Amino acid sequence: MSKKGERSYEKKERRIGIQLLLPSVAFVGILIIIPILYDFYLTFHYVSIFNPRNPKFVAFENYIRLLNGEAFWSDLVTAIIYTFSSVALQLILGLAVALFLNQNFAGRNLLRGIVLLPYLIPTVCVVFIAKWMLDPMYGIVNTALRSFAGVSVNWLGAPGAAMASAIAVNTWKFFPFVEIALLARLQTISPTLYEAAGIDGATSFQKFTHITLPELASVMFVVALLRTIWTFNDFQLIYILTAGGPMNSTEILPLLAYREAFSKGNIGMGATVAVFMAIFLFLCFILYYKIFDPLGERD
Amino acid sequence: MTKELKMAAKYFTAVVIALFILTPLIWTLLSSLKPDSEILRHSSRIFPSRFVLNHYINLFKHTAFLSYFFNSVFAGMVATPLTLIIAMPAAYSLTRFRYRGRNLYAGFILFSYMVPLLLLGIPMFIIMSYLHILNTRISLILSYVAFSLPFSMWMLRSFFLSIPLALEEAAMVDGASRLQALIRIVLPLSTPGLISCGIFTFVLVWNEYTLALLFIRSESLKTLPIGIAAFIGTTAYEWGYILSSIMMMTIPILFGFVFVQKALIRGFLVGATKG
Repeated sequence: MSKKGERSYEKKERRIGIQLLLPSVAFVGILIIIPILYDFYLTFHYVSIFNPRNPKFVAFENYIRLLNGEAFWSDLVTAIIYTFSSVALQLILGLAVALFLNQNFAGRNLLRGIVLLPYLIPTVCVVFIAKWMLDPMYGIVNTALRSFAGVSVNWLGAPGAAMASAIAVNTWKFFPFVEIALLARLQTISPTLYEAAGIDGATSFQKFTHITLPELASVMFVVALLRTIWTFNDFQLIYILTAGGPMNSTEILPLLAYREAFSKGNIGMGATVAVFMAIFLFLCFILYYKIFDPLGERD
Repeated sequence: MTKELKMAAKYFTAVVIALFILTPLIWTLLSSLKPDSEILRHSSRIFPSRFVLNHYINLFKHTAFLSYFFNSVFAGMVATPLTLIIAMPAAYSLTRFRYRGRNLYAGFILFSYMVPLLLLGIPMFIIMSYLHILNTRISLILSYVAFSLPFSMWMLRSFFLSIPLALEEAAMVDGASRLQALIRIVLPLSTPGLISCGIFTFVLVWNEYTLALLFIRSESLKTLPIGIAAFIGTTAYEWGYILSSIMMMTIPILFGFVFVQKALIRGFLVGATKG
Protein backbone atom coordinates (compact mmCIF):
# COMPACT_ATOMS: atom_id res chain seq x y z
CA MET A 1 0.00 0.00 0.00
CA SER A 2 2.77 2.45 -0.85
CA LYS A 3 2.04 5.87 -2.16
CA LYS A 4 3.75 7.06 -5.25
CA GLY A 5 7.36 7.89 -4.64
CA GLU A 6 7.10 7.10 -0.96
CA ARG A 7 10.19 5.84 0.72
CA SER A 8 10.10 3.00 3.22
CA TYR A 9 10.90 5.45 6.02
CA GLU A 10 7.82 7.46 5.29
CA LYS A 11 5.75 4.36 5.03
CA LYS A 12 6.96 3.28 8.44
CA GLU A 13 6.14 6.72 9.83
CA ARG A 14 2.63 6.47 8.54
CA ARG A 15 2.21 3.09 10.13
CA ILE A 16 3.46 4.29 13.51
CA GLY A 17 1.16 7.27 13.32
CA ILE A 18 -1.83 5.12 12.63
CA GLN A 19 -0.85 2.66 15.33
CA LEU A 20 -0.66 5.45 17.87
CA LEU A 21 -4.05 6.64 16.83
CA LEU A 22 -5.73 3.27 16.88
CA PRO A 23 -6.48 2.84 20.59
CA SER A 24 -8.20 6.19 20.81
CA VAL A 25 -10.10 5.53 17.61
CA ALA A 26 -11.25 2.26 19.11
CA PHE A 27 -12.35 3.93 22.31
CA VAL A 28 -14.10 6.80 20.63
CA GLY A 29 -15.69 4.38 18.24
CA ILE A 30 -17.02 2.12 20.93
CA LEU A 31 -18.01 4.79 23.39
CA ILE A 32 -19.38 7.44 21.07
CA ILE A 33 -20.11 6.24 17.55
CA ILE A 34 -21.80 3.03 18.53
CA PRO A 35 -24.16 4.69 21.00
CA ILE A 36 -25.10 7.31 18.44
CA LEU A 37 -25.77 4.71 15.77
CA TYR A 38 -27.66 2.64 18.29
CA ASP A 39 -29.74 5.68 19.13
CA PHE A 40 -30.81 5.87 15.49
CA TYR A 41 -31.64 2.21 15.58
CA LEU A 42 -33.74 2.73 18.71
CA THR A 43 -35.80 5.44 17.08
CA PHE A 44 -37.34 2.86 14.79
CA HIS A 45 -38.43 0.64 17.63
CA TYR A 46 -40.69 0.61 20.59
CA VAL A 47 -38.53 -0.12 23.62
CA SER A 48 -39.92 -0.07 27.10
CA ILE A 49 -37.67 0.81 29.99
CA PHE A 50 -39.10 -2.11 31.91
CA ASN A 51 -38.19 -4.48 29.16
CA PRO A 52 -35.15 -2.94 27.50
CA ARG A 53 -33.94 -6.08 25.83
CA ASN A 54 -37.07 -6.51 23.76
CA PRO A 55 -37.29 -3.92 21.05
CA LYS A 56 -40.31 -4.01 18.80
CA PHE A 57 -39.89 -2.67 15.30
CA VAL A 58 -42.30 0.16 14.54
CA ALA A 59 -40.65 1.86 11.57
CA PHE A 60 -41.43 5.58 11.51
CA GLU A 61 -44.20 5.53 14.08
CA ASN A 62 -42.10 7.32 16.69
CA TYR A 63 -41.26 10.11 14.31
CA ILE A 64 -44.84 10.50 13.16
CA ARG A 65 -46.23 10.57 16.67
CA LEU A 66 -43.60 13.00 17.84
CA LEU A 67 -44.04 15.44 14.99
CA ASN A 68 -47.82 15.22 15.16
CA GLY A 69 -47.87 15.77 18.88
CA GLU A 70 -47.98 19.15 20.50
CA ALA A 71 -45.18 18.65 22.97
CA PHE A 72 -42.38 18.61 20.43
CA TRP A 73 -43.33 21.84 18.73
CA SER A 74 -44.12 23.81 21.86
CA ASP A 75 -40.90 22.60 23.44
CA LEU A 76 -39.04 23.62 20.30
CA VAL A 77 -40.43 27.14 20.57
CA THR A 78 -39.53 27.22 24.26
CA ALA A 79 -36.03 26.04 23.42
CA ILE A 80 -35.59 28.72 20.79
CA ILE A 81 -36.77 31.48 23.11
CA TYR A 82 -34.60 30.22 25.94
CA THR A 83 -31.51 29.73 23.80
CA PHE A 84 -31.76 32.94 21.86
CA SER A 85 -32.37 35.10 24.94
CA SER A 86 -29.67 33.47 27.00
CA VAL A 87 -27.02 33.64 24.30
CA ALA A 88 -27.88 37.23 23.40
CA LEU A 89 -27.61 38.31 27.03
CA GLN A 90 -24.37 36.42 27.51
CA LEU A 91 -22.86 38.04 24.44
CA ILE A 92 -23.82 41.54 25.54
CA LEU A 93 -22.73 41.05 29.13
CA GLY A 94 -19.58 39.19 28.16
CA LEU A 95 -18.60 41.87 25.67
CA ALA A 96 -19.25 44.70 28.07
CA VAL A 97 -17.26 43.09 30.86
CA ALA A 98 -14.44 42.08 28.53
CA LEU A 99 -14.15 45.63 27.21
CA PHE A 100 -14.05 46.93 30.74
CA LEU A 101 -11.48 44.40 31.91
CA ASN A 102 -9.25 45.31 29.01
CA GLN A 103 -8.56 48.65 30.63
CA ASN A 104 -6.07 49.42 33.30
CA PHE A 105 -6.93 49.93 36.89
CA ALA A 106 -5.77 48.65 40.22
CA GLY A 107 -7.25 45.30 41.17
CA ARG A 108 -7.96 44.48 37.56
CA ASN A 109 -6.36 41.07 37.70
CA LEU A 110 -8.27 40.20 40.82
CA LEU A 111 -11.49 41.18 39.12
CA ARG A 112 -10.60 39.09 36.09
CA GLY A 113 -10.30 36.11 38.38
CA ILE A 114 -13.56 36.88 40.15
CA VAL A 115 -15.45 37.14 36.88
CA LEU A 116 -14.57 33.54 36.06
CA LEU A 117 -16.17 32.17 39.20
CA PRO A 118 -19.68 31.45 37.91
CA TYR A 119 -18.27 29.33 35.12
CA LEU A 120 -16.22 27.24 37.52
CA ILE A 121 -18.88 26.58 40.09
CA PRO A 122 -20.72 23.33 39.38
CA THR A 123 -24.04 23.83 37.67
CA VAL A 124 -25.85 22.03 40.50
CA CYS A 125 -24.53 24.57 42.96
CA VAL A 126 -25.39 27.54 40.78
CA VAL A 127 -28.92 26.26 40.32
CA PHE A 128 -29.31 25.65 44.04
CA ILE A 129 -28.06 29.13 44.80
CA ALA A 130 -30.65 30.43 42.37
CA LYS A 131 -33.38 28.33 43.97
CA TRP A 132 -32.37 29.70 47.34
CA MET A 133 -32.41 33.30 46.23
CA LEU A 134 -35.58 32.93 44.20
CA ASP A 135 -37.58 30.97 46.72
CA PRO A 136 -41.01 32.61 46.92
CA MET A 137 -41.09 32.66 50.70
CA TYR A 138 -37.54 32.74 51.98
CA GLY A 139 -35.57 33.96 49.02
CA ILE A 140 -33.78 37.23 49.24
CA VAL A 141 -35.09 38.48 45.91
CA ASN A 142 -38.67 38.35 47.04
CA THR A 143 -37.74 39.71 50.44
CA ALA A 144 -36.22 42.74 48.78
CA LEU A 145 -39.14 43.07 46.39
CA ARG A 146 -41.59 42.99 49.25
CA SER A 147 -39.74 45.69 51.18
CA PHE A 148 -39.32 48.02 48.24
CA ALA A 149 -42.29 47.32 46.01
CA GLY A 150 -44.71 45.38 48.12
CA VAL A 151 -44.97 42.56 45.60
CA SER A 152 -43.49 39.14 45.34
CA VAL A 153 -43.08 36.99 42.29
CA ASN A 154 -43.25 33.23 42.10
CA TRP A 155 -39.96 33.00 40.25
CA LEU A 156 -39.91 29.32 39.67
CA GLY A 157 -43.57 28.48 39.86
CA ALA A 158 -45.14 30.81 37.34
CA PRO A 159 -44.65 30.12 33.62
CA GLY A 160 -43.25 33.46 32.40
CA ALA A 161 -41.20 34.10 35.51
CA ALA A 162 -39.74 30.61 35.42
CA MET A 163 -38.45 31.17 31.91
CA ALA A 164 -36.99 34.51 32.94
CA SER A 165 -35.30 32.84 35.89
CA ALA A 166 -33.85 30.11 33.70
CA ILE A 167 -32.49 32.67 31.27
CA ALA A 168 -30.99 34.67 34.13
CA VAL A 169 -29.32 31.64 35.68
CA ASN A 170 -27.92 30.53 32.33
CA THR A 171 -26.58 34.01 31.68
CA TRP A 172 -24.96 34.38 35.08
CA LYS A 173 -23.32 30.99 34.90
CA PHE A 174 -22.01 31.12 31.37
CA PHE A 175 -21.25 34.72 30.46
CA PRO A 176 -17.65 34.33 31.74
CA PHE A 177 -17.05 31.92 28.89
CA VAL A 178 -17.87 34.68 26.42
CA GLU A 179 -15.97 37.23 28.44
CA ILE A 180 -12.73 35.36 28.62
CA ALA A 181 -12.68 34.48 24.95
CA LEU A 182 -13.36 38.09 23.98
CA LEU A 183 -10.84 39.45 26.45
CA ALA A 184 -8.15 37.18 25.08
CA ARG A 185 -8.87 38.42 21.60
CA LEU A 186 -9.04 42.04 22.71
CA GLN A 187 -5.59 41.76 24.17
CA THR A 188 -4.15 40.81 20.81
CA ILE A 189 -5.43 43.92 19.08
CA SER A 190 -2.48 46.17 18.58
CA PRO A 191 -2.85 49.55 20.30
CA THR A 192 -1.24 51.25 17.33
CA LEU A 193 -4.42 50.60 15.37
CA TYR A 194 -6.30 52.78 17.80
CA GLU A 195 -3.58 55.39 17.86
CA ALA A 196 -3.55 55.65 14.10
CA ALA A 197 -7.30 55.99 14.05
CA GLY A 198 -7.10 58.66 16.71
CA ILE A 199 -4.62 60.60 14.63
CA ASP A 200 -7.02 60.40 11.74
CA GLY A 201 -9.67 61.94 13.94
CA ALA A 202 -11.80 58.95 14.87
CA THR A 203 -14.10 59.21 17.88
CA SER A 204 -14.23 56.54 20.55
CA PHE A 205 -17.42 55.23 19.10
CA GLN A 206 -15.92 55.03 15.64
CA LYS A 207 -12.90 53.24 17.02
CA PHE A 208 -15.22 50.74 18.59
CA THR A 209 -17.30 50.07 15.51
CA HIS A 210 -14.50 50.13 12.97
CA ILE A 211 -11.67 48.45 14.83
CA THR A 212 -12.86 46.59 17.89
CA LEU A 213 -16.00 44.99 16.54
CA PRO A 214 -14.52 43.67 13.30
CA GLU A 215 -11.55 42.27 15.18
CA LEU A 216 -13.89 40.52 17.58
CA ALA A 217 -16.37 39.33 14.99
CA SER A 218 -14.95 35.89 14.42
CA VAL A 219 -14.49 35.08 18.10
CA MET A 220 -17.95 36.35 18.86
CA PHE A 221 -19.41 34.13 16.21
CA VAL A 222 -17.64 31.03 17.48
CA VAL A 223 -18.59 31.75 21.05
CA ALA A 224 -22.19 32.46 20.12
CA LEU A 225 -22.42 29.24 18.17
CA LEU A 226 -20.90 27.15 20.93
CA ARG A 227 -23.15 28.67 23.57
CA THR A 228 -26.15 28.16 21.32
CA ILE A 229 -25.38 24.48 20.90
CA TRP A 230 -24.71 23.95 24.56
CA THR A 231 -27.76 25.85 25.73
CA PHE A 232 -30.12 24.19 23.27
CA ASN A 233 -28.90 20.70 24.14
CA ASP A 234 -28.34 21.19 27.86
CA PHE A 235 -30.33 19.05 30.23
CA GLN A 236 -28.94 19.73 33.68
CA LEU A 237 -29.65 23.39 34.34
CA ILE A 238 -33.35 23.45 33.57
CA TYR A 239 -34.00 20.01 34.96
CA ILE A 240 -32.64 20.89 38.39
CA LEU A 241 -34.09 24.39 38.32
CA THR A 242 -37.66 23.68 37.25
CA ALA A 243 -37.79 20.11 35.95
CA GLY A 244 -39.46 21.52 32.85
CA GLY A 245 -41.21 24.29 34.62
CA PRO A 246 -44.71 24.89 35.69
CA MET A 247 -46.80 23.00 33.17
CA ASN A 248 -43.89 22.29 30.84
CA SER A 249 -43.36 25.97 30.19
CA THR A 250 -39.61 25.63 30.50
CA GLU A 251 -39.30 22.21 28.94
CA ILE A 252 -36.72 22.11 26.19
CA LEU A 253 -35.88 19.17 23.96
CA PRO A 254 -33.41 17.37 26.23
CA LEU A 255 -36.00 17.34 28.97
CA LEU A 256 -38.62 16.02 26.60
CA ALA A 257 -36.24 13.22 25.64
CA TYR A 258 -35.68 12.40 29.28
CA ARG A 259 -39.37 12.54 30.10
CA GLU A 260 -40.32 10.26 27.24
CA ALA A 261 -37.56 7.77 27.93
CA PHE A 262 -37.52 7.63 31.70
CA SER A 263 -40.79 9.01 33.01
CA LYS A 264 -43.08 7.55 30.41
CA GLY A 265 -40.71 4.65 29.88
CA ASN A 266 -40.69 4.91 26.11
CA ILE A 267 -37.03 4.72 25.23
CA GLY A 268 -37.61 4.67 21.50
CA MET A 269 -39.44 7.96 21.66
CA GLY A 270 -36.75 9.49 23.86
CA ALA A 271 -34.17 8.40 21.32
CA THR A 272 -36.23 10.06 18.60
CA VAL A 273 -36.20 13.40 20.38
CA ALA A 274 -32.45 13.00 20.85
CA VAL A 275 -32.09 12.58 17.11
CA PHE A 276 -33.62 15.98 16.57
CA MET A 277 -31.19 17.44 19.06
CA ALA A 278 -28.42 15.86 17.00
CA ILE A 279 -29.83 17.33 13.80
CA PHE A 280 -29.74 20.78 15.34
CA LEU A 281 -26.15 20.22 16.41
CA PHE A 282 -25.21 18.99 12.97
CA LEU A 283 -26.69 22.07 11.30
CA CYS A 284 -24.75 24.33 13.65
CA PHE A 285 -21.60 22.37 13.01
CA ILE A 286 -21.94 22.70 9.27
CA LEU A 287 -22.45 26.42 9.71
CA TYR A 288 -19.32 26.61 11.85
CA TYR A 289 -17.28 24.62 9.41
CA LYS A 290 -18.43 26.62 6.42
CA ILE A 291 -17.59 29.97 7.91
CA PHE A 292 -14.48 28.97 9.70
CA ASP A 293 -12.00 26.39 8.92
CA PRO A 294 -11.05 24.93 12.27
CA LEU A 295 -8.68 22.44 10.76
CA GLY A 296 -6.83 24.97 8.64
CA GLU A 297 -7.32 22.96 5.48
CA ARG A 298 -8.11 25.79 3.10
CA ASP A 299 -5.58 28.55 3.14
CA MET B 1 -14.94 64.08 31.91
CA THR B 2 -12.10 64.84 34.21
CA LYS B 3 -9.50 62.29 34.98
CA GLU B 4 -10.69 61.84 38.54
CA LEU B 5 -14.26 61.31 37.43
CA LYS B 6 -13.16 58.71 34.93
CA MET B 7 -11.20 56.88 37.60
CA ALA B 8 -14.14 56.99 39.97
CA ALA B 9 -16.44 55.62 37.28
CA LYS B 10 -14.01 52.80 36.63
CA TYR B 11 -13.88 51.78 40.25
CA PHE B 12 -17.60 52.06 40.61
CA THR B 13 -18.09 49.75 37.63
CA ALA B 14 -15.52 47.35 39.01
CA VAL B 15 -17.38 47.17 42.28
CA VAL B 16 -20.69 46.66 40.54
CA ILE B 17 -19.29 43.78 38.53
CA ALA B 18 -17.71 42.21 41.58
CA LEU B 19 -20.97 42.47 43.48
CA PHE B 20 -22.88 40.97 40.59
CA ILE B 21 -20.69 37.88 40.79
CA LEU B 22 -20.06 37.64 44.50
CA THR B 23 -23.41 38.54 46.02
CA PRO B 24 -25.09 35.18 45.37
CA LEU B 25 -22.05 33.36 46.72
CA ILE B 26 -21.63 35.47 49.82
CA TRP B 27 -25.34 35.41 50.53
CA THR B 28 -25.37 31.63 50.32
CA LEU B 29 -22.34 31.43 52.58
CA LEU B 30 -23.91 33.70 55.15
CA SER B 31 -27.19 31.84 54.98
CA SER B 32 -25.45 28.55 55.51
CA LEU B 33 -24.06 29.84 58.79
CA LYS B 34 -27.38 31.00 60.16
CA PRO B 35 -29.46 28.99 62.55
CA ASP B 36 -32.67 27.54 61.13
CA SER B 37 -34.83 30.12 62.80
CA GLU B 38 -33.14 32.84 60.82
CA ILE B 39 -33.08 31.10 57.47
CA LEU B 40 -36.74 30.25 57.39
CA ARG B 41 -38.15 33.71 57.75
CA HIS B 42 -40.00 35.87 55.33
CA SER B 43 -37.71 38.79 55.82
CA SER B 44 -34.28 37.84 56.97
CA ARG B 45 -31.52 40.09 58.03
CA ILE B 46 -28.32 40.08 56.08
CA PHE B 47 -25.89 39.05 58.76
CA PRO B 48 -26.56 36.16 61.07
CA SER B 49 -27.11 37.17 64.66
CA ARG B 50 -24.84 34.31 65.54
CA PHE B 51 -22.78 31.99 63.38
CA VAL B 52 -23.59 28.32 63.64
CA LEU B 53 -21.95 25.37 62.07
CA ASN B 54 -24.65 22.87 62.70
CA HIS B 55 -25.80 22.70 59.08
CA TYR B 56 -22.35 21.58 58.08
CA ILE B 57 -22.07 19.16 60.95
CA ASN B 58 -25.49 17.70 60.21
CA LEU B 59 -24.56 17.43 56.58
CA PHE B 60 -21.79 15.04 57.49
CA LYS B 61 -23.59 13.31 60.29
CA HIS B 62 -27.05 12.79 58.87
CA THR B 63 -26.60 12.61 55.15
CA ALA B 64 -24.49 10.55 52.82
CA PHE B 65 -22.50 13.62 51.78
CA LEU B 66 -19.17 12.04 52.54
CA SER B 67 -20.11 9.07 50.42
CA TYR B 68 -21.13 11.31 47.54
CA PHE B 69 -17.87 13.21 47.92
CA PHE B 70 -15.83 10.03 47.85
CA ASN B 71 -17.68 8.75 44.79
CA SER B 72 -17.05 11.95 42.88
CA VAL B 73 -13.38 12.00 43.81
CA PHE B 74 -13.03 8.36 42.87
CA ALA B 75 -14.70 8.90 39.51
CA GLY B 76 -12.47 11.86 38.78
CA MET B 77 -9.29 10.12 39.88
CA VAL B 78 -9.94 7.12 37.69
CA ALA B 79 -11.50 8.73 34.63
CA THR B 80 -8.94 11.53 34.32
CA PRO B 81 -5.74 9.48 33.92
CA LEU B 82 -7.57 7.02 31.69
CA THR B 83 -8.69 9.84 29.46
CA LEU B 84 -5.23 11.36 29.32
CA ILE B 85 -3.58 8.04 28.54
CA ILE B 86 -5.91 7.47 25.61
CA ALA B 87 -5.96 11.05 24.39
CA MET B 88 -2.25 11.74 24.43
CA PRO B 89 -1.01 9.29 21.80
CA ALA B 90 -3.94 10.28 19.62
CA ALA B 91 -3.12 13.97 19.91
CA TYR B 92 0.53 13.27 19.27
CA SER B 93 -0.28 11.16 16.27
CA LEU B 94 -2.61 13.77 14.83
CA THR B 95 0.03 16.47 15.00
CA ARG B 96 3.24 14.66 14.17
CA PHE B 97 2.33 12.21 11.45
CA ARG B 98 0.68 12.41 8.09
CA TYR B 99 -1.84 9.96 6.85
CA ARG B 100 -5.13 9.85 5.08
CA GLY B 101 -8.18 10.76 7.09
CA ARG B 102 -6.19 12.66 9.66
CA ASN B 103 -8.15 15.86 9.26
CA LEU B 104 -11.35 13.93 9.07
CA TYR B 105 -10.63 12.40 12.41
CA ALA B 106 -9.73 15.75 13.93
CA GLY B 107 -13.00 17.15 12.68
CA PHE B 108 -14.84 14.24 14.16
CA ILE B 109 -13.30 14.96 17.54
CA LEU B 110 -14.61 18.49 17.39
CA PHE B 111 -18.05 17.23 16.50
CA SER B 112 -18.20 14.63 19.22
CA TYR B 113 -17.20 17.24 21.78
CA MET B 114 -20.55 18.85 21.19
CA VAL B 115 -22.68 15.75 21.28
CA PRO B 116 -25.59 16.20 23.67
CA LEU B 117 -25.34 13.95 26.68
CA LEU B 118 -28.79 12.48 26.23
CA LEU B 119 -27.90 11.38 22.72
CA LEU B 120 -25.13 9.34 24.32
CA GLY B 121 -26.97 8.55 27.50
CA ILE B 122 -30.12 6.90 26.22
CA PRO B 123 -28.43 4.26 24.05
CA MET B 124 -25.71 3.78 26.65
CA PHE B 125 -28.42 3.06 29.14
CA ILE B 126 -29.73 0.21 27.04
CA ILE B 127 -26.29 -1.09 26.18
CA MET B 128 -25.31 -1.12 29.82
CA SER B 129 -28.51 -2.84 30.68
CA TYR B 130 -27.59 -5.59 28.22
CA LEU B 131 -24.15 -5.84 29.76
CA HIS B 132 -25.61 -5.82 33.25
CA ILE B 133 -23.34 -3.01 34.31
CA LEU B 134 -26.02 -0.45 35.01
CA ASN B 135 -25.69 1.07 38.43
CA THR B 136 -22.04 0.18 38.82
CA ARG B 137 -18.90 2.27 39.10
CA ILE B 138 -17.71 0.91 35.77
CA SER B 139 -20.69 2.33 33.94
CA LEU B 140 -19.91 5.74 35.32
CA ILE B 141 -16.20 5.64 34.58
CA LEU B 142 -16.73 4.38 31.05
CA SER B 143 -19.27 7.04 30.24
CA TYR B 144 -17.10 9.74 31.79
CA VAL B 145 -14.12 8.67 29.72
CA ALA B 146 -16.37 8.69 26.66
CA PHE B 147 -17.58 12.15 27.35
CA SER B 148 -14.23 13.69 28.28
CA LEU B 149 -12.18 12.13 25.49
CA PRO B 150 -13.19 14.48 22.69
CA PHE B 151 -12.39 17.62 24.61
CA SER B 152 -9.14 16.23 25.95
CA MET B 153 -8.01 15.14 22.52
CA TRP B 154 -8.84 18.51 21.08
CA MET B 155 -7.08 20.35 23.88
CA LEU B 156 -3.98 18.17 23.76
CA ARG B 157 -3.88 18.43 20.01
CA SER B 158 -3.81 22.20 20.33
CA PHE B 159 -1.02 22.04 22.88
CA PHE B 160 1.02 19.69 20.73
CA LEU B 161 0.47 21.92 17.72
CA SER B 162 2.05 24.75 19.64
CA ILE B 163 5.25 22.78 20.22
CA PRO B 164 7.39 23.37 17.15
CA LEU B 165 8.22 20.30 15.14
CA ALA B 166 11.65 21.78 14.57
CA LEU B 167 12.71 20.94 18.10
CA GLU B 168 12.18 17.24 17.65
CA GLU B 169 13.63 17.30 14.18
CA ALA B 170 16.76 18.94 15.49
CA ALA B 171 17.04 16.26 18.14
CA MET B 172 16.56 13.52 15.58
CA VAL B 173 19.15 15.05 13.31
CA ASP B 174 21.48 14.82 16.28
CA GLY B 175 20.78 11.12 16.42
CA ALA B 176 17.89 10.75 18.83
CA SER B 177 15.18 8.25 18.00
CA ARG B 178 11.60 9.38 17.75
CA LEU B 179 10.85 7.89 21.12
CA GLN B 180 13.75 9.72 22.74
CA ALA B 181 12.65 12.95 21.13
CA LEU B 182 9.21 12.35 22.51
CA ILE B 183 10.35 11.69 26.04
CA ARG B 184 13.08 14.26 26.31
CA ILE B 185 11.55 17.14 24.40
CA VAL B 186 7.85 16.90 23.77
CA LEU B 187 6.78 15.52 27.13
CA PRO B 188 8.47 18.15 29.29
CA LEU B 189 7.18 20.92 27.06
CA SER B 190 3.67 19.64 27.04
CA THR B 191 3.47 19.14 30.80
CA PRO B 192 1.52 22.35 31.39
CA GLY B 193 -0.88 21.22 28.69
CA LEU B 194 -1.26 17.81 30.24
CA ILE B 195 -1.88 19.32 33.64
CA SER B 196 -4.44 21.76 32.26
CA CYS B 197 -6.16 18.96 30.45
CA GLY B 198 -6.14 16.78 33.54
CA ILE B 199 -7.64 19.53 35.67
CA PHE B 200 -10.27 20.27 33.08
CA THR B 201 -11.26 16.65 32.83
CA PHE B 202 -11.44 16.31 36.59
CA VAL B 203 -13.65 19.38 36.85
CA LEU B 204 -15.88 18.06 34.08
CA VAL B 205 -16.33 14.80 35.93
CA TRP B 206 -16.82 16.55 39.26
CA ASN B 207 -19.68 18.61 37.85
CA GLU B 208 -21.31 15.92 35.77
CA TYR B 209 -24.95 15.30 36.49
CA THR B 210 -26.90 13.91 33.55
CA LEU B 211 -25.09 10.63 32.94
CA ALA B 212 -24.90 9.87 36.62
CA LEU B 213 -28.62 10.51 36.87
CA LEU B 214 -29.28 7.97 34.16
CA PHE B 215 -26.93 5.24 35.25
CA ILE B 216 -26.82 5.30 39.04
CA ARG B 217 -29.69 4.21 41.24
CA SER B 218 -28.03 3.09 44.46
CA GLU B 219 -27.56 5.63 47.15
CA SER B 220 -24.10 4.30 47.91
CA LEU B 221 -22.80 4.99 44.42
CA LYS B 222 -24.23 8.45 43.92
CA THR B 223 -21.84 11.23 43.04
CA LEU B 224 -22.04 14.70 44.53
CA PRO B 225 -24.25 16.41 41.96
CA ILE B 226 -26.86 13.67 42.04
CA GLY B 227 -26.67 13.20 45.76
CA ILE B 228 -27.14 16.78 46.74
CA ALA B 229 -29.76 17.35 44.06
CA ALA B 230 -31.89 14.92 46.01
CA PHE B 231 -31.90 17.27 48.98
CA ILE B 232 -34.52 19.17 47.10
CA GLY B 233 -37.46 16.89 47.53
CA THR B 234 -40.93 17.55 46.34
CA THR B 235 -42.26 19.14 49.50
CA ALA B 236 -40.28 20.91 52.14
CA TYR B 237 -36.73 21.66 51.19
CA GLU B 238 -34.04 20.92 53.68
CA TRP B 239 -32.40 24.28 53.34
CA GLY B 240 -29.75 23.67 55.95
CA TYR B 241 -28.35 20.71 54.04
CA ILE B 242 -28.76 22.40 50.71
CA LEU B 243 -26.88 25.54 51.69
CA SER B 244 -24.03 23.79 53.40
CA SER B 245 -23.66 21.26 50.61
CA ILE B 246 -23.43 24.05 48.04
CA MET B 247 -20.55 25.54 49.96
CA MET B 248 -18.86 22.19 50.51
CA MET B 249 -19.02 21.40 46.84
CA THR B 250 -17.94 24.83 45.69
CA ILE B 251 -15.09 25.60 48.06
CA PRO B 252 -12.67 22.90 46.79
CA ILE B 253 -13.15 24.23 43.28
CA LEU B 254 -12.44 27.76 44.42
CA PHE B 255 -9.29 26.69 46.24
CA GLY B 256 -8.13 24.72 43.27
CA PHE B 257 -8.83 27.67 41.05
CA VAL B 258 -6.64 29.98 43.04
CA PHE B 259 -3.74 27.64 42.47
CA VAL B 260 -4.22 26.78 38.86
CA GLN B 261 -5.66 29.97 37.44
CA LYS B 262 -3.19 30.34 34.65
CA ALA B 263 -3.50 26.78 33.43
CA LEU B 264 -7.29 26.96 33.45
CA ILE B 265 -7.42 30.15 31.45
CA ARG B 266 -5.17 28.62 28.85
CA GLY B 267 -7.52 25.68 28.75
CA PHE B 268 -10.56 27.86 28.16
CA LEU B 269 -9.00 29.56 25.24
CA VAL B 270 -8.11 26.33 23.57
CA GLY B 271 -11.75 25.42 23.58
CA ALA B 272 -13.02 28.79 22.48
CA THR B 273 -10.68 29.78 19.73
CA LYS B 274 -9.32 28.25 16.62
CA GLY B 275 -6.40 25.83 16.96
